[in-house]
Amino acid sequence: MKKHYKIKDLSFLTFFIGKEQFAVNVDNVIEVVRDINMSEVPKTEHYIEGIINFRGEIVTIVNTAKKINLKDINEEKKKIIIVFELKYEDKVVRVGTLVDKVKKVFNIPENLIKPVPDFGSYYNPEFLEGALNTEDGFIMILDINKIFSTKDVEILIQNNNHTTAKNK
Amino acid sequence: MINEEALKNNFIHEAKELLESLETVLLDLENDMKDEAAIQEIFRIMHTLKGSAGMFGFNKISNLTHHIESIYDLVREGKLVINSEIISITLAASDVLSILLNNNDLLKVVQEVKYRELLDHVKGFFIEDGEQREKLKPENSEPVNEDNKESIFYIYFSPHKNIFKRGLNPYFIFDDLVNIKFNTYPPIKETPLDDSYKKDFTYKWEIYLSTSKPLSFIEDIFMFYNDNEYKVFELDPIDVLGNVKFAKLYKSIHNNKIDLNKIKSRIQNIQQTGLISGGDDEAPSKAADIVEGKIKQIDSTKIEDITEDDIVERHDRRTKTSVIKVPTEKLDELINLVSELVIINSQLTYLSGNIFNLKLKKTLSNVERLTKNLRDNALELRLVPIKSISLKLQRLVRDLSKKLDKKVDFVTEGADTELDSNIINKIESPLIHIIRNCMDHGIESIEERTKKGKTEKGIIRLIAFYSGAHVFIQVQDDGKGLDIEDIRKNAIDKGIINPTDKLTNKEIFDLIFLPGFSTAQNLSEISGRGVGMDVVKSNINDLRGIIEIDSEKDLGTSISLKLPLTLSIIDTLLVKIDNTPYLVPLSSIDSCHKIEHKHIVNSDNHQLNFKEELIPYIYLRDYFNNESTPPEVENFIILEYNEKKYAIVVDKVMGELQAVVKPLGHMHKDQEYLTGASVLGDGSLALIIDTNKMVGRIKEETLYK
Repeated sequence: MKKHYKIKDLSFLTFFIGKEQFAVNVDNVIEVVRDINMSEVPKTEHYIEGIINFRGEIVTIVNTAKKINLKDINEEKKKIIIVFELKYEDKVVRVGTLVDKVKKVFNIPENLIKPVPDFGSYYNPEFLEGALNTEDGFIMILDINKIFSTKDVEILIQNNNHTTAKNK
Repeated sequence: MINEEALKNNFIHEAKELLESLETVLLDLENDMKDEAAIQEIFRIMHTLKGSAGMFGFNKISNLTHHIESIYDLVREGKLVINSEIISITLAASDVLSILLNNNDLLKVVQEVKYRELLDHVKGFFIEDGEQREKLKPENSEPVNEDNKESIFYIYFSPHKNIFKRGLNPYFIFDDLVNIKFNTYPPIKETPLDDSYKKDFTYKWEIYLSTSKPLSFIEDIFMFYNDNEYKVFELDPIDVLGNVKFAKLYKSIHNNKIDLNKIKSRIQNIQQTGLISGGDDEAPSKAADIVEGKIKQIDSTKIEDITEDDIVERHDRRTKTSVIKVPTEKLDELINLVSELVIINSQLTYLSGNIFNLKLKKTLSNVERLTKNLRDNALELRLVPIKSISLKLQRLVRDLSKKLDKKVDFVTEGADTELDSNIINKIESPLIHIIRNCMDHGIESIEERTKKGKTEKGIIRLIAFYSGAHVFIQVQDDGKGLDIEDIRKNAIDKGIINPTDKLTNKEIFDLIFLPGFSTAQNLSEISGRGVGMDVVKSNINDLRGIIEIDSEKDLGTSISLKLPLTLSIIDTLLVKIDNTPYLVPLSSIDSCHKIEHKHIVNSDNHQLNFKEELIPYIYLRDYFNNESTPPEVENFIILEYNEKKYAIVVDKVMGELQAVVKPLGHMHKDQEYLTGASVLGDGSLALIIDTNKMVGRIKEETLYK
C-alpha cells in the first residue's frame, strides 16, 4: 500500500507595507485593528511607534518597516494594526505592528516555502522566516519572534554597517 | 467535587504550613530546651505529616517523619533529653521535607545521599539505647512486659464522612494501635487506595484493646480527629457496664440492646490473643487484616442518638476562627475586577463632564467615593504580614552564625506590619542579601567584639512600620559599620569619583549601589562579589521603592527600604506636556506651582530658587524631546525625596486621578523613567512617571556635573 505522507498546509495572513508584500502565520494573529488611537512613548527605540489600549491591556506597536530597515515609501500615517500573541520567556505577550493594507488569509503547503534569498543591502534578512513566489507576487514571511524581540540592537548595528558599506 | 489532585495539593499546602511552624517552634525550643509544649508540638507535626504523607505517595516523607517522631516520642517520655544536636537534625530534616514536598517525593542524587545520611543519623539515636533497638525491628515483636498491668479499652472509632478531605487516612489508626500492643513500629505501609477515597467515608469500628499504656496515650493517637469521631473508654472486665458512658454509647450503637456476654467474650479474646478485634460477629482478625481494610461495616444508624452530654462535654475544641484561606488567584481576579471598575468610573466622570445635573454629579461623586473604598479594601486583602519573611531571615541568621562562628541575635519589630503579597515576594531576595552582608561584613567575630568592649552577641534588628502611603523596612546591625575612607578610596580607584570631589557621607554610602562595587577584603562565598547591592537597589526600584544606607564606624549599619503599599492602583496627578498626558504619583508630590516659561529658560544649571531654596529640576519637554512651542505659563511640580526637594516641569496640571497601573510590556524593559501606563476616562493612554528614578536623573544632571 502506498504510504501517504500529508504535507502540512500552513495558513498565512498577507499584508502590505508600502509596495512589499509580507505574510505571517495565522496562528499568532489575534486581531486586525483599524483606526485606533496610538500613544507615543518617549525615549524608546526608533522602531517602536507607540502603545495602544487593546482589550484593557497595553500593547506595544512596532513599525516593521523601520525594524527591518525597509525603505518605507508610504509617507502617509498607517492606520491598520495587526495584533499578535507570542511567547516571550515563557510568558504570553501581545504585540502589534503597523501595516498599510491587509490582504487575505490563504493556505500554502509548507514545502512551497523557499529559504530567504539574499537581498544584499535592501533590507535585513534576519527577520524573515522564508519567502514565497506566488501568482500574487513575491511574499516574504516574517519571523514574528524576531520582530518583537528586544535583542536586536547588535543585528541592526551590524546590518547598518553592512548596508552603509554597500551603499558607498 | 473532590478530585485526587485537589486533595494532594491541599495536603502539600497544609504540610508546608506545618513545616513553617515547625521551624518557629524549633527555634523557640533552642532558646528553652525544657519547653514541653514545643516538644509536644513538634511531635504532633511529625505525626500528622507521617500520617498524611503516606496517603499521597510521599513515602520518603512518611519514612523520615516516622523516625523523627520516634525521637520526640522518647523525649516526651523522658528517655531522651533535647540537645542542640537533635534540634539541628530536626531543622535539617525540615529542609529535606520541604524539598520532598516541592518535588513530589523525589530527590536529586546529591540530595538523596544527604537524605540517607540524615536518616542514619536519626536512627542512630535508637541504636544507643538498648531498649529502643526493638523499635527498629518489627520481627522482634516481644510481648508486653508482664510487670506492667494491662487494662482493657473499648474504642468506638467513627470518622466523619469527609475524613479524606482533611487529608487523614483512618487506616493509620490501626497502625498506631498495633504499635501499642507490640511495642514495635512496623514499616509504613502504603495503603492501597481504591475508589473509596473519592466517596464519603462511611466505615466505623468498634475496637477492643488490651495494653499497659494509659488512657491518655490512646487518646493521643486520635489527636487530629474531632472529639465526636472517637470515644475511648477503659473497661473493668468484672464490671463492664460500670462505665455508664460506655454503656450508653454501646446501647445506642447496638439498637438499644446490650449483649453482655458478647462484650465479655470479646474482652477475653483480647486478653488471650493480645490482638485487636473489631467488626461485629467476626472472629478476632489480625492487625494486618485491619490495616488492609477488611473490617465489616458497622451499622451506624443510631449515631445521631448520641447526644451532647453522652459525648464528653467538651465541644469541638477547634475554635471557630474568623479567618479563611483564599487562593491568591481569586484575590488577583477580584483586584482585576476592581481595577476595571476604577477605569469605568473615570469614563463615567469624563462622559458626564458636560452634563449639568446636580443630582447626577452628586451620585457620581458617591460612586467615586465607594469605588475608592472598594479599591482600598480589595487591595488590603492581598496584604500579608512581614512575619513570613522574618522567619526565614531568623533561620538564615542562625545558620550563618554557626557557619561563621559568630554570635548573633535576630530581633523583629513590627512583624505584623503588612505588605502586598507581590511586594513581599519580591523583597525577600534583597533582604536575604542584606542580612548576609550584615552577617559577613557587619557583625564582628566574638574576639573582635570583646576587644572593642562590645557584647559578645551581636544583634540584627528587622524593623517594619507604616508611614503615610508607604511601608518602611529597616535592617540594623551593631557591627563594625562602613568605612567611609575605604569606600571613597575604592570609588576613586574605580574612577567613579575624583579625588577632589566633595561628597557628603550619605552620598558616599550611595556609591555602594553602583554595579561592581565592593570593598570587602575577602569576598567570601556568602556575599560580596560586587553583584549584590546594585541588584538589590534595582529590585527595590522596580517596586517603586527607595533604599538607603546609613552607618557609623564601630556602631553599626542601618539599611532602610521605603516601599509603596501597593503596586496596582495608585493616586496620581494628571499632567500634560503638549497634548500628551502623563501621570505623577501623588505620594511623591510636595506641591505644584505655576511658573512663567521665561524663568525656566533663564535659570542657572537647572536649579530654581523657590522660597529661598535652590531646587534642582528637570524640564520634561526637553527630556522627552517635545519640539512644539512651550506655553507661556508652565507648572513646577515639587517632589520630595528623602527630605530633599526636586522638581519636574510640565505644561498643564489637569487634576487628580486614580490610576490603574498597567505594565508597558517586555519591549520597554529598558525604559528608565516610565513605570507603566494607565487608561484615562476617554480611553486614551497616559504614561506614568517613575518619580524615584526621575529624581535620580535630576541628581545626575545637577550634582555630578
